[in-house]
Amino acid sequence: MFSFIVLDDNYLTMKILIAEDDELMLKTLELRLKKDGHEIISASDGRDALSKIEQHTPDLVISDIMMPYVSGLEIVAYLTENRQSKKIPIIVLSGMGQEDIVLEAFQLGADDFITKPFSPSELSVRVKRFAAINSR
Amino acid sequence: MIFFEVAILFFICVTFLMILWMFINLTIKKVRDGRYKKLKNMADILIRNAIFLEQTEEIKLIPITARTAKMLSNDNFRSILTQELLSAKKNISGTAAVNLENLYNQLNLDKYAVKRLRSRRWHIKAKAIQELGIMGQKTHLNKIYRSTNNKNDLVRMEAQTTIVKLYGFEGLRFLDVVSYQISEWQQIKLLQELSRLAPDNFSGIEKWLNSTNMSVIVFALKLVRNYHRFELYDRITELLNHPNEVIRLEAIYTLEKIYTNETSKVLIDKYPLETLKNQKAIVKALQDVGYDDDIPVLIQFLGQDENELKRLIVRTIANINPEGLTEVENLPQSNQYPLDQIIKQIKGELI
Repeated sequence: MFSFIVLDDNYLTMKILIAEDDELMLKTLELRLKKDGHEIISASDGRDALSKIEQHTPDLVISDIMMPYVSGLEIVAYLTENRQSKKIPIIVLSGMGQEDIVLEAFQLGADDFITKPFSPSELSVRVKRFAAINSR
Repeated sequence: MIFFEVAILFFICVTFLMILWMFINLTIKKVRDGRYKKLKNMADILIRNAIFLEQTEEIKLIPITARTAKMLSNDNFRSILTQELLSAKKNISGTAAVNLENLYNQLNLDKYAVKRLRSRRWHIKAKAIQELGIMGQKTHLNKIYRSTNNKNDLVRMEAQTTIVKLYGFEGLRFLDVVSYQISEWQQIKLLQELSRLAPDNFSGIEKWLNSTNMSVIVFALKLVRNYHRFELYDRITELLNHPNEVIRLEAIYTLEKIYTNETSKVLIDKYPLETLKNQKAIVKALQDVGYDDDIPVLIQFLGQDENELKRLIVRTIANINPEGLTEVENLPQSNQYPLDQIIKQIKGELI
């Protein structure tokens, strides 16, 4: 009747693309998710993210909203419009007071969001949820 | 001919000097960038170590290499490290954020921020206050508190926001002494900081409502309505007689939020004495606090020339009781412009 997502340490790992222009933040997220066993592809801006999405086809995209060249919203729009990448879930990272933008991201097709400041462990748990869904 | 040769020689020399100047500059820039990258990398490694430090009950010291410890005496490195720490603190919360604060304390970086607080340059001072606030440095309360009444707008704003960020409602005690006006923007910022905290029964509002600083009274009124301080109702009604128009307007807005069944009468009594702007605010407030008994008085208020106010009055009547519109329609002027159009519009809104 009910289906449960069990978040244990044996969940499947994913290929995750992180798009974040803050170098320290990018590296921190990369290290945290690598610790969980995921394969990480880093992109330091939106344009870089788009080309790496095409190149690697990740299982999940984590993207900051405010980025140079191509914004996080444009990445969300690209993913939902493109047939090949339509099924890739996307988590957007937003700053405080960007509620309107988060709403727009959801309308464009984002699957989840995290407001900065956030704990890397929180992100890890959210990613685990997507990994569990992905493994079914 | 000689002139021509000298000119060519001069041109060659200038070109050579320019190329040399560009080369030297590019080399300096490259060295500086390389050095910056190296220092930033060192700082990032240190910060990442702090972020991923396992949580234990006692505060653990973040492991620092001898090279990093030595580098702390380097102003450049310290400045880069502080900037990176602040940036990380803005993006990260939870245990990792606590670890960042611990690293800041472990390296005694607050000592340098406090030193910058004494700077004569306002931007250095404001940045130091912001830094202490972001890094949760409560021990420097007195030094920051002193700046809450600084003559420079931006230093003052930063100090006030930081005090509230660190001490919550208790931090509002700077309102007792602030002699400069608190701008509208600053009031929004302070209310935003407070909105993140659980509202406790903070004291001091009564005092602020009697302040000689007009902006403090306005801010206190905003606190009264945001936190529904019903016990101050009588004092707010007294402020409807204040000589300052803005304070009277804020008092009207506040009464709209903490009204009793007497409020509509109080507001209606003040209506004839008020400015057009405040009259509009009273009529708008009556949409929430008015009763059927107030409709005949509101109909009397229609006998003035301002169309916007007329429209507001008719809308308020319709809000209090849609049947009140029939009374407006029975007025002799209800068939004339603009009342006929206003009635039409408000009727349309009711559908």
